[in-house]
Amino acid sequence: MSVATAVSGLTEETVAPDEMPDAVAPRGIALSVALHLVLGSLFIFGLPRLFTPPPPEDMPVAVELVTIAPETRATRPNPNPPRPDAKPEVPTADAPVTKPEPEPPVPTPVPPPSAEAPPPAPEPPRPPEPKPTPPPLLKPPEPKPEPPKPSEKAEAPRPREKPEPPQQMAKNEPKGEQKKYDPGQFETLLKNLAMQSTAPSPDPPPQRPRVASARPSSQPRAPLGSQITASEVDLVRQQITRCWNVPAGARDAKDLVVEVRVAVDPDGTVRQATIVDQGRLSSDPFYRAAAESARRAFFNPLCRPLHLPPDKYAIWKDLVVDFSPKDIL
Amino acid sequence: MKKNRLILAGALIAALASQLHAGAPARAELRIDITRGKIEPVPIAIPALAGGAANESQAGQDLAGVVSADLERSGLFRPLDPRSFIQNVSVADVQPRFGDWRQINAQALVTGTVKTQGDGRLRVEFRLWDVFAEQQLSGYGYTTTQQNWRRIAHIVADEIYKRITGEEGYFDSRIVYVSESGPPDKRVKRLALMDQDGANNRYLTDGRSLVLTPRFSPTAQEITYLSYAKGSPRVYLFNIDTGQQEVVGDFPGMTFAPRFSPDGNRVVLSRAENGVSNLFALDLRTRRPTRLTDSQAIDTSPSFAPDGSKIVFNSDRGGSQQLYVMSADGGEAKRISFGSGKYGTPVWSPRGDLIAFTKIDGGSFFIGVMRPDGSGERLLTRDFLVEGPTWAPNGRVLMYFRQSPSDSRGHGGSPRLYSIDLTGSNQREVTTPMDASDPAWSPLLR
Repeated sequence: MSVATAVSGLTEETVAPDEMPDAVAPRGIALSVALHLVLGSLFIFGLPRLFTPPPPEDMPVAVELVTIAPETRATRPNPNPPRPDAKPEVPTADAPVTKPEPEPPVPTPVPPPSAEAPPPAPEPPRPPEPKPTPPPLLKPPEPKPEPPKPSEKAEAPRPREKPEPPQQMAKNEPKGEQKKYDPGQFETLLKNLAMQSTAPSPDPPPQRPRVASARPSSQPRAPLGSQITASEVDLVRQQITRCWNVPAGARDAKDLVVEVRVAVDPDGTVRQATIVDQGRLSSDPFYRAAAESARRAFFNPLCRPLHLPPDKYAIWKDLVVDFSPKDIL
Repeated sequence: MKKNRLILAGALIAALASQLHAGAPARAELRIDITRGKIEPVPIAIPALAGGAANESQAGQDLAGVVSADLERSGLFRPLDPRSFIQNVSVADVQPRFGDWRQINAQALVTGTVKTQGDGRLRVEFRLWDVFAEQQLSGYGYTTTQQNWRRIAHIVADEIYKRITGEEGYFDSRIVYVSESGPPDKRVKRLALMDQDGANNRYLTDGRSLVLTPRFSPTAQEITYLSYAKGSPRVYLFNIDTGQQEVVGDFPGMTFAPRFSPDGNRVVLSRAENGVSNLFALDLRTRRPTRLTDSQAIDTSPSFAPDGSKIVFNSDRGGSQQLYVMSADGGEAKRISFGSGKYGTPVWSPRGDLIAFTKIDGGSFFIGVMRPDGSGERLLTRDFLVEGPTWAPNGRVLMYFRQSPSDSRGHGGSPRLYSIDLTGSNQREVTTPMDASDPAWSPLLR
C-alpha cells in the first residue's frame, strides 16, 4: 500500500509543476525526492514482511567467500629441485627462483641526489659506465620482458595456471575414503588406520592456515575468470614475506603498520613503491626505518618480478600492501 | 525545465539505487597484508673508505673495519666479506654502481673518503646508500685528530645503525668496570675504563684498595663507586678528566650502591646503620643528604627512572628480597616483583620502558627484564652466576658479568663481561685483558 501512495504522489508531482507558482516547486521537488527515496529503498530492501514468520534459524555457518585455485601454491615444497643455484636460504616451498639475475633492469626511481647532507660532492657525476641500468624513469610497459618471463618461469616447477597438479589431491582424497569405507575384517581396518595415520605425512602440502587473506573488498566483481584467487594472493604474499627484512626489536614495533602503494608493470616488476604516510615518514624515525624496510622489499631481487597472474594485470597493476610485523613480535 | 530537473533527480536516485543494489565497489584495489618477514641481519657492504696517500688508505681500511665490527656485534647487521665486492670504490666515485652491489645481495652500502688536512687532522666523509632503492640515506663529514679515529668510526656506525633501525646507536660509548686479577684470597680489583668494543682499555685506580659498583654520571665525565680506601666501604666520586677522587657525603658508617640521578645533580645511595640499610639522596652542590626510606630492612641498589621521577630499588622488607618502586622523593614504595625467587640490582632502562634485574631462583642466577609496573617479566639468560646488568645508551642491549665454575664442585672459574640483545639473542663476550665484573655503560659520549 505504501507503494500506492508513492505512485500517486509521483503522478501528481509530474503533472503539477508547469502551472504551479515558483514558490511551491522546491517543496514539490523535496517531496518527490523523499518519496523516490522511499521507493528506492523499498526496491533495495524489499517490502517488509510483517506476517510471514521468520524462516527457521539455520545454524550460522560463516563461510569465507574466496576463490581457491585448484591448489594453493604458496607453501608447497618443490618436488624436484632443479634450482640452478641452491641458495642456502630457507628451503621454503616453491621459492621464487629468481636467482640474482644480473639483468634486472631496475627502473631507477631517480638518480640519487648526491649531496643531501654535509659531504660535498664537487666532482660532477661521471657519466655512468655501461652499467645496465636503463635510466628512463617511467619506462613504458615494454612488452619485451613479458613473454620470455613466464616461459622461463614455466620451466621452473612452480605451477602457475596449469591445472595439472590436481591429480595429487585427487589421489589424496579417494585414498582416505576407500579406507574408511572398507568393510573388511577388523584386522584390515586396524592396519588401514595405522597406515592412514602415517601415510598423510609425506604427501599433503604443508598448508598454512590460509588465513582469509583476500579481504572481501579486494575481490572486484568481475567474471569469474578474471578474479584473483586467494591462492594467487597467497603466492605473492609468500614472496614478499621473503623479501621483507623486518626491523626487529624496535620499541612498539608490533603497532607499526606501513601502507605502501605499489605500481606494477605488466611483467610483475614493481615500477614504483610509495609510502602512503609521508608525514610520519619525516617525523618518526622508527616509522621511517620500518617503512623503508617495507619499500625495500619490492626492490629485493627475490621480488622482481612479483609472481602475479599475467592475465589478470588489470586487477593487480595497482596494489596496496600493508606491512605490520605483528605475527613476528 | 523543472520537469527536466525532476527527471534528472529521478535518474540520479535510480542510478544510486542500482549501484547499491549491485553492491559493486566502484574501484577496488587489491590489498595485501604482510604480517611477517625475515628477521635477519641486514646485509651491508662496508668497503674501505677511499684515501689518496698510503696513510689515508690505511686509515680508511681501519675505519671500515671498526664500523663493520660494531655493526656486526649488534646482531642486526651482516657485513659482507670484502672479497666478494665487485666494485672497487675509489676517491673519484661519486655514486656507486648499484648493480654491482645488488649482485652480492648487499642491501646497504657505505662509501667514504679519508683525507689528511693541512693541519694534520683527519677529514672523514661517509655516505650510506640504499642499494635496492638506489638512494643515499645519509651522509656526513667529520674532522678530528689522527689519534681519535676510532671515535669517528663509532660515530659513523651509530649513524648507520640509527638510519637503518630507527633507533639511536650505542657504539660511541664507554664501559667502566672492575678489573680483577690474582688468586682468590688476594684478589686485586681495579677500576678500568674502555671503549664499548673493548679498545683503549686503561686503569683508573692502582688496585691497592678494593673497589666495587662503578657508575657513570650522565655526562660520562665522572664515575661514582664504592671503595675501601680508608678501611670501611665508602662511596667515592672519580673525575675522568682530572683523575681526582673524593668521598661523597659525610655519612657515619658504611655507604654503598651509589648511582647518579639523570640530571647528574644528585647521587642516591644506601647507608647501613644498626643492621638495617636505608636509601639516601645526596645533592652534589649543597652536599646535603635527604633520607628516602626509613625501614627496618635492607633497602639497596636504587636506580632512577630516566625522567628522574621515580626510583626502583630492592628490599627485603616483605620477608624476601624483592623489587620496589617509589617516588624519587621517597614515600610509599610499591612492590613490583612477584615471581618465585629473589630479585636484586634493578636498573631502569634509558628509554624508560623496562627494568632489568638479577634474579636468583632454584640455585641459578638469571638476568631478566620487566615493565616498571612489574608485568611482562622475561628472563634473558641464566648461569651459575650472572649479575649486575647495565643498559646500553639506547636501551636495546644489556651488559653483565658471568662466571661459570671451572670444576665440577662449582668452584673456580673467572668472571667475564657479556652483552646480550633485549630479545635474548646475540649473547657475546666483551673481551677484557683480565677478569672483569660490575660493568657500567656510559651514555653516548656526544
